[in-house]
Amino acid sequence: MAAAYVSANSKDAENNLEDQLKRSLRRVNPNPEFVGHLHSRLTTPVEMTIERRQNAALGLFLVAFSLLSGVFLILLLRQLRAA
Amino acid sequence: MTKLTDSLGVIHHDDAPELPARPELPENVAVERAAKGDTEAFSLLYERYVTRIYNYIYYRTGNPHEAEDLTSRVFHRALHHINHYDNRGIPFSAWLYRIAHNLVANWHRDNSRRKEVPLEDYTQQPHRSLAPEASVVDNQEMEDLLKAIRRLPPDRQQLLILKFVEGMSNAEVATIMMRSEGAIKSLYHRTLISLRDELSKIDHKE
Repeated sequence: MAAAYVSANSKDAENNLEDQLKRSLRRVNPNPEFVGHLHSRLTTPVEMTIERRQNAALGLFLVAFSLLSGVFLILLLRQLRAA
Repeated sequence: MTKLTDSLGVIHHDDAPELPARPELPENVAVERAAKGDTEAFSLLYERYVTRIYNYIYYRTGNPHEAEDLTSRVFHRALHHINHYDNRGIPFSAWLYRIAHNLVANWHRDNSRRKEVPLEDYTQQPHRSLAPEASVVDNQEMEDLLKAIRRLPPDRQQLLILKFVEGMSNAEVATIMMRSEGAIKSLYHRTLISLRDELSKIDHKE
């Protein structure tokens, strides 16, 4: 008798808890703006900007040319002073 | 779309998120096409699962902002790894929930020292699909219940979310969680007992 009472009580408690879960755990709708924005991010191909690397040889040539021009000017100035 | 606000400050939308209507395509075909880079097919899968995944994450984290961020990561990860998905092994939904589960687990690990913020402290609530008159729920009761649920092991939380939020049967839950229906039935019973214990612990503290 007591066992049946405890069992009935526990069944009631279980049912109450299930009712509470049904009331509290309801489906929520995400923000429609978020859903739409994420949808477009997933389905629109990402625009990629590929930076073209400058020609390394051209850069090297310019540096070398500047240095040589500098050295040439210094030498020229020295010769002019000596004369 | 009509916006309604109830006494708890929760914004209700009277319809689901608006996305263009698409023809029905069997899921396995959509997955196969998406794996080959068909964005239309992936779009279908996204529309089918975005609200479910959002709900799962929202109830696991209790934070609408994190739910958006993690939902976004789930679908980006799914998009980049769908070609590795093997549909002979597990259903696509189970695979998606598995990604969400792993991201939520990482989030909990990274935020384990962060203080828990009560639900009413959030200024922005998600958009409930309930009619306002049906949503007048005792805020304290709901808060205690959600707190108790989040103290349960992740698989039990998942079971409750799938069963009550998604309204799935034990058989459907079993498919997603890759267990037998009997195992889910038994897990559900144990979950209710441990949830009751957690709730009584919360009651005693107050």
